[in-house]
Amino acid sequence: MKKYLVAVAFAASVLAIVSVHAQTSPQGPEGAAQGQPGARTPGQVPTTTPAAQAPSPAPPPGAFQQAGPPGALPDGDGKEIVAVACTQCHGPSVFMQLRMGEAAWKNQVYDMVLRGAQIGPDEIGRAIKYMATAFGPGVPFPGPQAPAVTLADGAGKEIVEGGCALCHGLDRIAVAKRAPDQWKRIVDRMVFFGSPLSDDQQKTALAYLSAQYGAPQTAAK
Amino acid sequence: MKDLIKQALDNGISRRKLMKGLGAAGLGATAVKTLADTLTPATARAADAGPVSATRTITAQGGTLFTQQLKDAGVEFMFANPSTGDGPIYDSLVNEPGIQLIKGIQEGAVVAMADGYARLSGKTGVCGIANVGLPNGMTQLVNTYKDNIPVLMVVAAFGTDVAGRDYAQDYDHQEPMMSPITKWFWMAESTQGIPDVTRRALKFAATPPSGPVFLSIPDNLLKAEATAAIMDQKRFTVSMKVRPDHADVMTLAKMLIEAKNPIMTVGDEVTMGQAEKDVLELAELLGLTVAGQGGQGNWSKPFPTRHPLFIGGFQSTMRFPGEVDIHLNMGDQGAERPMKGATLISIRSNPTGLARANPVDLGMVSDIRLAARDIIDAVKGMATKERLKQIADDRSARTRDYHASQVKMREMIATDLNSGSEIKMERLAVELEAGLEKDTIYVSDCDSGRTMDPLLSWGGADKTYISTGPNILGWGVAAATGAKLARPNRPVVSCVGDGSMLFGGPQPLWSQARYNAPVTNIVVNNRSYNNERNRIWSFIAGQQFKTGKDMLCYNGSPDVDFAKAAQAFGVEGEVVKDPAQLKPAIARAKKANVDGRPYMLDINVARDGVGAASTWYPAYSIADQRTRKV
Repeated sequence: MKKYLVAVAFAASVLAIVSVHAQTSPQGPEGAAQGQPGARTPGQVPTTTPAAQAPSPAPPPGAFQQAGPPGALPDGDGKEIVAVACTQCHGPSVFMQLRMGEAAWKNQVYDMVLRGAQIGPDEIGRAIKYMATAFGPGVPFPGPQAPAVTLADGAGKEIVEGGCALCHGLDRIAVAKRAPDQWKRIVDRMVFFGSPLSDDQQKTALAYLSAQYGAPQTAAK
Repeated sequence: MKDLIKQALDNGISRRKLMKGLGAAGLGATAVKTLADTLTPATARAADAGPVSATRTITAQGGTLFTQQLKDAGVEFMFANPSTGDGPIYDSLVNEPGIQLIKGIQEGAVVAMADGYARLSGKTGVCGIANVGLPNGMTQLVNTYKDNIPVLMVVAAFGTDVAGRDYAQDYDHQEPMMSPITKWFWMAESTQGIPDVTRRALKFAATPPSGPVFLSIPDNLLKAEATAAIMDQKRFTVSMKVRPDHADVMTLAKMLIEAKNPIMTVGDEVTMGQAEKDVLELAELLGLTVAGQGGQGNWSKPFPTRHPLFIGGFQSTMRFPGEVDIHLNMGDQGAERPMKGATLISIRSNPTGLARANPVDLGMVSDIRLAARDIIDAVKGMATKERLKQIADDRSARTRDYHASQVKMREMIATDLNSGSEIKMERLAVELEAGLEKDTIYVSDCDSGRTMDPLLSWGGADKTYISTGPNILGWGVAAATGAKLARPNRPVVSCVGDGSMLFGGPQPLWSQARYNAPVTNIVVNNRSYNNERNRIWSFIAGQQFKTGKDMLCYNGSPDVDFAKAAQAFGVEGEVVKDPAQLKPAIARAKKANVDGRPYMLDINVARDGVGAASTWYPAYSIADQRTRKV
């Protein structure tokens, strides 16, 4: 479950991060190769446009790069919007490994628009539906699968396995013990992000996580 | 004339008097200068330099010589915290009403107050900080340097009689460590020379491209007495209002008229050059699509964001306006980037910044306002009024439609997110847009809160936005204090994240309380270094991401109550957790400001992003390690 939270939260913010970084990163190393400027006659602009022909400056060390080589976006209605609007600032791989439902993708796309993504009101609905379909809960991940993990036995184990593994591996659940209020926050967020757990299933999952992977309640909020 | 020459040779009359006399005798200016050079000994000319520029000569302690030079340079405020060595400086102000001291209680806050004052007043902010606290002040001076803000920072250094002996607070050669973050640094070498180095420091700070300077004055020089000339600072003020090359302007004007799909980007140099109205006029004259300002290192928003020609931030590739043929950059460092297929013309007042990171097709060093005026004149001279109107109408139609769609988009987002029991930042932005006065000066130091910015109106007749390019946190509250000092008749709001508030601490609130600075301070409190966590987890995607363990960025446990902290520092305030309480809380803050008091709104907002739901942190109890309960 813990892993689920992380993945869900990741999904909710990756695009924002990329956008913010794009706003704050240097634009490239100094001295992009253009040769010596030489003496230019005032009033003359080069007939060729070196700026337009120049290769894009290499990003500085530490600049965010897409996690892997850009993969082809799955076909679907709205693909053409996402393919163009999102990649103005970052490659597609930053969201291709995320799994979220429509409500969560809506928040994410809204966040991107507020950070500068050029998507119009008449097309945003299609963009959100495309993301929720192409990268929704249960859509297989590209690349190597997460390591198989056997969760502790207990009532609710199957619910947790089913509800969490839609979006991430189960290995994330067992790595840190968490107080009941933390698990509650995580389960609530999972549901918002698309985990199809009913109210009763959420309670069962919460009880299971608190019992098997719980920590004493602290004053932490 | 013969008598005059004899007098010069016999008595060594001043060069000035000699030249005046030669001129009166009918010699031309060149002849006067040549003759004067011949007749006046070099030593006499050197001696003349002081009196010519002096307004008066006084005999006083070094501290007084320093502050009197400041006074004659028009300095009205000095931001400061005390140290023993500075004593003579502040002694000199006991009976000097011309300079008001504004005390800060940590060097970073002192520097940020001076910085905020300089950004809003257009004058040089002067700050004196404790020598041993110099590194504290340096943290905020990075913002000042990167944003080209004129600030003079002065310290009383160890005396020349004891420096270098490795006393407890002494370290060798502190001046050079200021080198990367100042335009200029210097150590005064004599008491008599203090006014001269001070006026020089002020000149360097204020001369565009402006920036911070550092002056170290050994404390024994501040204590000693000397007779020295106080300089007329105006005579050292250099205009950098350089006009662009005329031929370049004509070429550019023609290109702009003939362009198929031009774009203009605008940045901080428009603000620094007070060229907002001129750049707006240029955009409207030619129907230019406008982008830029904000993000990518900009600290201001000079172009009205609600203007129908404005489309938001700049990227090298943009869906709208699509394939650009002419990219005119007006003073935006971040937007000076190549767009595929476009000719890039960049006009910069900062020659160092021009073509520094990327190649340009035509680079022009100019005062931005003068450049805009010259381009406007050239364009008007090349086309009839009717033709220009047709060009502007044709071009702007698409941009206006796009701008309108973005307005609709933002309204949709604000409506959609304006629900739930938690306060979302977008909801806060909507309430601020509705509740703040249109002439508010909004001082932003909130990384996560940048999604709020497009939901508020900036520039032109709307609110004034200032922030920092480098985002060195801890600046906002102190800078807002300085801004209010510079603009007492305008509402001032600081908006900082809890991360920034923890960096800067409540110390600037103390200054607000002491000096009755009616500022509304908003802490956007999500109990997290939210964007930092997002970046760490996403860029690296390492063990913190994989395990869900937030090692450093969660700021809860303990949760800080900033309203209580403010109260301890003399500023009333409240915590706001309920979205429905935002509006009345903002109204209470405004009422306090109207009554002359600062106010704190600690607004608990929802965290968002990677690991936002997790409150896990690597717990450790020092108490549990004890074998003896003391």
